[in-house]
Parts: sequence; C-alpha cells; structure tokens
Amino acid sequence: MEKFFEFISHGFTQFMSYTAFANITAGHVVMIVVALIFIYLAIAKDYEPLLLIPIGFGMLIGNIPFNLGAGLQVGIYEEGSVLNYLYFGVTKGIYPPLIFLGIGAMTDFSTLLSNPKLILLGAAAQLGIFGAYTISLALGYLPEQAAAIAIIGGADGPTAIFLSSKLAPELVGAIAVSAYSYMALVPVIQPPIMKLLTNDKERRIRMKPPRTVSKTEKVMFPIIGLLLTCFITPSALPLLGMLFFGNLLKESGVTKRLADTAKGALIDIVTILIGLTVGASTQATTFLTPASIGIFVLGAVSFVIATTGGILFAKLMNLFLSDENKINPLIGNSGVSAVPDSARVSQMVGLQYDKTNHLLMHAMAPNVAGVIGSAVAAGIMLSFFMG
Amino acid sequence: MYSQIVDSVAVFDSVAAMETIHENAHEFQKIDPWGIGLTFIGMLVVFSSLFLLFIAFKNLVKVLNYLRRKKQSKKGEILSADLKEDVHTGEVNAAIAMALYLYSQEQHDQESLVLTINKVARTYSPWSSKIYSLRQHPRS
Repeated sequence: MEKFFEFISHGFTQFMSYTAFANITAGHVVMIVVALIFIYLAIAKDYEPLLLIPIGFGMLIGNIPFNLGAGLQVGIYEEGSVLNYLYFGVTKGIYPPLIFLGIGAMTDFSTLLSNPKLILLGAAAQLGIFGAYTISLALGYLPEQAAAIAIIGGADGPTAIFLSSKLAPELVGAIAVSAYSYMALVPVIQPPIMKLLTNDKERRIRMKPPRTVSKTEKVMFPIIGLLLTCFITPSALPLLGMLFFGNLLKESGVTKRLADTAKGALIDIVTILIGLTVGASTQATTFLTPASIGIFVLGAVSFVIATTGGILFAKLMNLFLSDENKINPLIGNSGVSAVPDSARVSQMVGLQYDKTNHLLMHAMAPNVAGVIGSAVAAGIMLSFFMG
Repeated sequence: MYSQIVDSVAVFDSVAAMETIHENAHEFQKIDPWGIGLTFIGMLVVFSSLFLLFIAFKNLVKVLNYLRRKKQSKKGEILSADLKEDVHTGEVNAAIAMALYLYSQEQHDQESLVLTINKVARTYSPWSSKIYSLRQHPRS
C-alpha cells in the first residue's frame, strides 16, 4: 500500500512539474500579454487582422510554458515537434515566395504602368533599409544581423522573413514580429512625417488621372519585369520570380483557375502557417533578449527613414517636372511597400487637405513598386553576404 | 539510409552557407565598418533596377502603338492616331460604369414571380448530426 501511495505521489509530483504553472517565468507572462494585445488590436481596432490574429495566437501557443528538459517534442525549437516541422517553411524560406505568388496574382500593376515615373518613388523608399543597416552597425550588431534587421524598412513581411532566415535565423521571430507590427502601425507612424515634410500647396497638388492600360501592356509587364530585375539581382529570384509569375497568371486571362487558387486558398493557407509559426517562434526563453528589443527600435527607425526618403524624392522629382505632371508628395510614403496600407494613408492624408483630391490610385503605383524594390534590396543583401 | 544521407548533406550545406556568411560579414566589418559602401551600392542597384523598369514601360506604349499603326497601315485602315484620341480616363470609365450599374439596378419590372423551393439533401455525418447536439425531447 505504501508503495502504491509512493507511486501516486511520485506520479503527481512529476505531472505537476510538467504543467505550465511549474515552468512559468516572467518572460512568458510578458509575451502572453503582448499576444493578447496583438489579438485585441486585430479584433477591436481592425489592425491587419489577417496577420495579427495568427501571429498573436501563435505567440500564445509558443509561450505556453512547458518542461524543456522533458523531451515532450512540443516546442517550436524542439526537433521532431509538429510546430518545428511547420517552422521549417520559415527557416528554409519556403513560405515567403509562396506568399509572393499570391500577392502577384492579386495585384493590379496598371497604375504603375500608366505612370511609370512613380516606380522611382518605390526605389527611394528603400533608403529605409540601407539607413537602418548603417544604424544597426553603429549599435553593434554584426553585419549579417544588421542586414537582416534593416530589411524591416522594406515593410514587406515575406521579404523580411526570407532574408532573415538566410542571414540571421536566430532573429527571424523578432524581425517578423517587428515588421508586421509596424506594417499594422503604418497609419500611426506615417502621417506626422508626411505633414512635417510637405507644405500646404504641395499637399493640394492634383495629379493627372491615370490613363487606361491595355491588356498587352499588362501581360508584358511580368515578363519584362522579371527579365530586367532578375538579370540585375538573380538572388531575388525566389521572390520576384513568384511575384511576376503570379501576376502573369492573373493578367494572361487564360489561367483564371490557377490565379484564383494562388490569390485565394494558397495564400490563405501559407499566411496561416507563416503567421502561426512566426508567432510561436517568439518563445520567451529565446525571444526576450536585448537584441529583440533593439530590433523593435530599429524597425521603427527604418520605417521613418523609408517614409522620409519617399516623400523627399517626390519633392525632388517635382523640381524637374512640368506643372501638369507634378507629383503630390503625399504619395511618397507609399514607396514603403506595406500594400495597400501606406497607399490608404496617402489617400487619407490627402483628403484632409482637399476633399475631392483622391490619391489612392496614384499611390498604388509606388506602393507596388516598393514591393519590387524591397525584393531587389533583399537580393542585394543576399548576394553580398552569401556570394 | 538515403534520407539520412540527404539530411546530413542538407545540414552540411546550411552549415557551410552560414560559415560563408560569417566570413563575408567579418570581411565587411573590416572594409566597411559603417556600412556606407553597401548603402551606396545597394541604393544604386535598387535605383538602376527600377529605373530600367521605368524606361522599359515608358517606351512600351510607344512601341506598341507604333506596331499597331504599322499593322493598320499595312491593311490600309484609317490610322486611329489620325482621328481624335479616344482614350477615356479612369474617372470617365468610372462614371460610365456607375451609370450602367444604376441603370441595371432599376430593372425590376420584369422579375420572375415563380418561387421554387429546392430540397437540399446532405450526406449523413455523425460529426454534424443533430442527434448528438440536441436533446431527443427538448420540450419534455
């Protein structure tokens, strides 16, 4: 009988040591609170719910404390666990190109084709990436880590995950969470900078309505775009290849079923997997470090630099453009490729100064050009460090 | 056995790749400690890539129009460019679309008055069976 009670007591003690209550740390509590804030922002404030819900819930999953030494194979970093297998798509850079396929299939590049000079605003905003790189280096990050952190300035979650999984896999979680958080906060970060850098006259500039783009142009865009960009930076091929392929599926008009799958079920599945696993990768034991906090600060800085770069370049272009072709500098912020949030911000701020001046269509051009620009920038970083 | 070999090759590849990255980064730290060089080259490449796109798409319309005119002139058709330009702006198209939409929404006069009730049959599944989700005699 005594042996029986001993067995029961030992079993109960062991069970208790496996529970979350026995393994919880302050870090776990902090991360659970952050996860709840993410979920709250997504549901109550409608901030990027498609991303913040999977990431927030993933954070909850990743921060359920458990006995690390028990070999339960439940944690995302434990080899053989289901979450670890799903995380494979992040660490090996599989998910981001699939998301780019969906983005290509759902993006209409006709505004960019109707006014090609706006492409350059998408290039100027990439200053955020390289500006953040130099600042990260000054703060003592290793060059490969600095490059991975800097890509947050591209405001492109898949690109950030793709590059950081290659250059600094240990920072993927922090970089992805930072990138997606700031993308959700674009309506908060950008307007003050836009107002600061422009005057009243500039904010009221009316741009020429976009011309109608023919089907031939739309079909040729992904083919020419792929050839031109990937001949210069082949290292961006996984991202740009999929982006342009997705766009050809859409614009060709003969592969509607494939385009529908790419922009529908496929991108939804990958978004669920990427969001959940990235969220789960923020396990308090590996996530809550000074480096992660630094990444959050640098993420904000990179967004500020990127927005500034886009707006100032629009003003610079205006110096060389005729009156009828002038660009409203309020669309400069859209070079930050948080599609379509930054374009919506241009529209929103523009309407504050002129209720009949709709900038959304114009802003979509630098917005989608920014996607291409940030993928090219990621390709440059890759070829520099991996070459 | 095969999967073990594949796994070990994959691990070796990723380790080798990380080593290359660290070596290159170490070199970078020596040559370009503030990242000014990479910033300059990076921005140059991004701008040149997108500038090429700008040039290509700026001239694409001209090329397409030229080819179209050539084709039309071969056929002996009247050149559309010689006529009044017939390109509508997005705003005009939006206005036409809105007018057509409003017009089509007003077509209520000839609606069918026949109501049809379709019987829907679903395959039985215990997962969605009401037997398991409702009490047998809710009112008893």
